[in-house]
Amino acid sequence: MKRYVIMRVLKAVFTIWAVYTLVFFLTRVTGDPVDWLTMAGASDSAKETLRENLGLDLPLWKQYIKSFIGLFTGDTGESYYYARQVSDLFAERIWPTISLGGIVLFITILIGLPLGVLAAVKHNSLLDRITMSTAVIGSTMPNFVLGILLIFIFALKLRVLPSGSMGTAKNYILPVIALSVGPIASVARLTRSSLLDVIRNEYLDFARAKGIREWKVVIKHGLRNALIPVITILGAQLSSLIGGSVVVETVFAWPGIGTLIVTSAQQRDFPVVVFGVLVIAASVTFVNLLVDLSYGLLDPRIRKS
Amino acid sequence: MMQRNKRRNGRSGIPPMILFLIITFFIIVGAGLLAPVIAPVDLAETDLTKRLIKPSFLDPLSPYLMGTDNLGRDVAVRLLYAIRETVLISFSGMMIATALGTALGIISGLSGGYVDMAISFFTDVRLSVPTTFIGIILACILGAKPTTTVLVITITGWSSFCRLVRSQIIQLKKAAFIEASRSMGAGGLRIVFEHILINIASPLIVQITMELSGFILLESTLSFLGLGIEPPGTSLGVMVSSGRDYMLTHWWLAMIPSVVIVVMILQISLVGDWLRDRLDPKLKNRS
Repeated sequence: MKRYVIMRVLKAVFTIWAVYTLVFFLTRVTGDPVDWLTMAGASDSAKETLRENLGLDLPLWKQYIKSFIGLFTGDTGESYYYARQVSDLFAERIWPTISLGGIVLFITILIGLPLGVLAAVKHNSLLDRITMSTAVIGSTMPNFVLGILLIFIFALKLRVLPSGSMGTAKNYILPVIALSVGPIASVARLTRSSLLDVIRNEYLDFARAKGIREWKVVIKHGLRNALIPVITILGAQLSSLIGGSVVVETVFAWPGIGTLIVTSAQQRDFPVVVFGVLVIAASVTFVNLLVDLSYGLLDPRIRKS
Repeated sequence: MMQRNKRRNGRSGIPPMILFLIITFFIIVGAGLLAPVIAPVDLAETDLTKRLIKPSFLDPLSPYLMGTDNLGRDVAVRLLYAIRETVLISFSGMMIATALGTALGIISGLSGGYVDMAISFFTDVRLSVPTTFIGIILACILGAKPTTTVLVITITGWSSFCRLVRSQIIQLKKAAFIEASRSMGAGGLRIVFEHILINIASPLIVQITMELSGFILLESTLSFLGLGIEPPGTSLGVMVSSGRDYMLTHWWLAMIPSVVIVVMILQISLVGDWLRDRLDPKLKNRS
């Protein structure tokens, strides 16, 4: 187990490094940023000064090493457009994104898991059918379509909720709904099918025969064993949640890192894009690492092997 | 249990509901592909005297079935071209991703060792960056073009096919009939084409269908974000994005393309679910 953990952590670190390196070189080989940062017809000397200021006059490999070391010394480079440290830009905008994502994750578990359990326990009942058909529609509805629909109904027609930007708790309602419907649907579907697989097992009958109450049988003996695929999908959902938050942040004019990265990509502000992708890849990899390691906690069979 | 029996009895027939979904899906796709034949117009042409006319389902006197947009262009015609663009991009992305993923999966599964490790490492690297961000990076590097979106679909799509084919091959490698064929002197390529591809065809078809709805979603998301297509070209996401500014007064501009996106994705996923249950009973109840 110890060896497994060490190998798994090493692999995660290596993955993040590979993403960083790949994105760094991909963004640099496609042309000179100075060309689109200066106006057409700028003098060569002006271009040269700018190039020196941005550190683009160094050979590519020196730039790479400099920015790589910078990641550890706290020098994340300057944004071409904002002329500020990239890490400062992110520090300002990370809270809106994290608070939104945290609420969505919480609500996903709070609603998706019980829905799935109910649907599985009442298998083939009306409740099951309704939950599952809603889940199918919920998981096929694109984020941006849902977001626009919510804005149209609640902000433009009924005028009960704000359509965007941060502020009070009310501002959170629509983006949270737009982001969480998909994950809730997937978690509910998967919990249901995973629990249905488990529920047919004999040890549940045995637990029932011992006189344990039905809900306790389902929760303690059933759900615990059904959770592993659900946790896997939660890890995968986080990745699509981060992807989806870019879209939802754009729709609701949310001042988070999603909108920062999209506008930076449109402006070709490479230091911001590279750092943003690094932050996102690191968080996705970290969560997947946690997911993999949590299998051991949930399933003694894996812990021992 | 009952469900299983029902399925076995009705094995040859396609349920009417599924047939309906398939037919309507191909009508939408066909109408989109035939857009230049049905309505040969120049997409860049605008007519500001005819801007924002109501669709005929709201105003019976309107000559336009779906109204006109803010630049006076017929929404119905643009919708056809948008479907065409979305379909062309996501289908070609799907084909390349399937071919690449299958090939790499075969290589990875058959050779094992370092090749296998390298390929699975690349899968990990790719999975650590959410799909939308791969689109953002590539659009930033290569510019917002249809070919960029095809590339994004390829890069994000291959890994799931690769993993599926790889695991199938590792299972198949141990199968007796492959061993028999090899002992009779069949070469690696012959085994791949004669035995392996045929045996992995049905899970692969299921996977293609399941992924296709994701590709359509990805294409519309990227073009919605303005990272897919440059005007005057259009796609379903572009139409939603430009209709957004007129939501309060002209809601149908954003809603019509949104409905088409949702309907297409729903059609594919329902057919995909049915195909999976039918071709691959082992996978039933998963996902």
